[in-house]
Amino acid sequence: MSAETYHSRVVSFASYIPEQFVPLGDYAGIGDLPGKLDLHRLTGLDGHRKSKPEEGSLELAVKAAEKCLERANINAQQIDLVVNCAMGKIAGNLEMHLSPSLATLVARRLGIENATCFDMSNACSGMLTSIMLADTMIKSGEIEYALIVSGENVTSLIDEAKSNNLWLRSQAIASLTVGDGSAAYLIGRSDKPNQIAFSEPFTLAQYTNLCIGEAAKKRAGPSMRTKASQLQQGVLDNLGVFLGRSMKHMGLDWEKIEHTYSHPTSPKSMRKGGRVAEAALGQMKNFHNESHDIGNTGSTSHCMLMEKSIQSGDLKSGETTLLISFGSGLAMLAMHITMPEGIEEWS
Amino acid sequence: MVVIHGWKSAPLGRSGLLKSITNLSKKLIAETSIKLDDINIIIHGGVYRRNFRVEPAFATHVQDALGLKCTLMTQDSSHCFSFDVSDGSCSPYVVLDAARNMLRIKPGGYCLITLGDERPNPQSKWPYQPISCVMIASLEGEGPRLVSTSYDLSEFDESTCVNMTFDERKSRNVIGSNNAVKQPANTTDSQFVGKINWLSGRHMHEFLSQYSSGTTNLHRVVDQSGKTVTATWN
Repeated sequence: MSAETYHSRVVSFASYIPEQFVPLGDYAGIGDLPGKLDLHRLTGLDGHRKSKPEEGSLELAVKAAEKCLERANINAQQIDLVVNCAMGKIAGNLEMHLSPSLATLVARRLGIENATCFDMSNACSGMLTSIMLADTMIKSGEIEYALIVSGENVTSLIDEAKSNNLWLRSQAIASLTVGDGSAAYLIGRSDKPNQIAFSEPFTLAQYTNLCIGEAAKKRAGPSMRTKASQLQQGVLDNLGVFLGRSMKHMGLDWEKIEHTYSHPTSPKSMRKGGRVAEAALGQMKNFHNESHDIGNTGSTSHCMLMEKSIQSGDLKSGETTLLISFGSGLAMLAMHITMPEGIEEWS
Repeated sequence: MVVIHGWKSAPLGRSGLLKSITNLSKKLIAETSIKLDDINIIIHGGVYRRNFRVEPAFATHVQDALGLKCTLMTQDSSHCFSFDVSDGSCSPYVVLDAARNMLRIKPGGYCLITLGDERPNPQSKWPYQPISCVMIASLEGEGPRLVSTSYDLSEFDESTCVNMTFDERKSRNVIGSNNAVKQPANTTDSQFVGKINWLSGRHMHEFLSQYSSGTTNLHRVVDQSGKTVTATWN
């Protein structure tokens, strides 16, 4: 990377995991799906978390951001950049925020008055894409602190999918794997180098039409249509080379990385990806595949998994972590970070 | 600092946003004698897409339509990275700033910037006359140089936010009604300020059309929400 004046680091991160757990059998039991499809056997999912009716994308993002700022112990006025990277920006009443950026509303709720605010759209890779941009701005000296947020209020996709005849609309079945949640990262200057590194960013646009999110037809809120097996194959066909190039680009030794988190489309697809990764580069130390009770939470997914790891005491200060991101498009991007100091005290 | 090597714009016709942007991009690439493969980044800025699409990024559709580096990855293959950013009518400068930062990450190449909006569906009210605008940017070279941008959200009025809302009578999701702040009255001669109801592509089209170095080098965009961005060109 050129023109680096400063170093950067993840100062803190936080995720809000809604308390309400909805078991898979309540919305996608074997009798509900075409051909007695067993979604648990197919995906490894047990269910998802559902936000409260009053919690839209904005409220979810603010909850994570407040927790993140509390962990960092910094004043909101020190923040120079706020980026929102939620995919749908869906309110509790299923209205979708369009303009100006939802990041502006997040900043207003947090009392941030002088930050640049914008929204990023890069599907499930939006979070890492936003952090990459913020990281560059910090390293060039343009800004000191950046807050990256996302609130994914997406479980209305499940109701939309179920309103269709899934025999005829099988591309809606992937909508049954989503969950609600939110995430926030605070990125700031660092005295030490190499606290954050990124892979080369890739978009393999030949796969761009395999997952489409847009307004639902004849009902409020969004819909999603996914050619899931083709999209997964697109990832698997490129994954080994992507990881090999990423290790080289970031100057990392694969076997020394202490924790690895991949975008959890489903626990079973992560296992498949894990096998491809290990065949290409060797065994991973700690591959975190704990999305069985939260589902696919889009751009928030890595942070949701890391929050679970904090709660279970699996992550320690100074440990190295690789986040691997895939987003429809098809975007592929990885980020290597050092866990912030004091993480053991985060509640 | 980011340099605009060339730009093209056209009113959005009946062909739709993707076709409009793709055609403009092809013409611009041909005119600027830049090789398609030298484009490493595509960033799109805009608010309204057909049927309120949010995923994937519009820029990935542009990359696919241009057939730009859509190949399997190998150890030495060259690839492009595409995504969208937005902030109402301030989007052009959010895109240009993102381009500057991405060009630091992928140095040596060019960034294709696309700006544009289209009516989400016939059921939505549409008082706009969108213009599609494409630019090719890099960190160095000849052309208009964006020196700095300054964003101000102090006048942001939450009641002006625009949402997609469900119209029971039409049984469709449509653009909801919203307020707008007043058009600013006083501007200096050296400052170009567009209309408050212009969309992103039109703001850049109008500014670049009248821009000449040494005269009007300040561009101020006031979004209908009250947010503003002031850009200095050289």
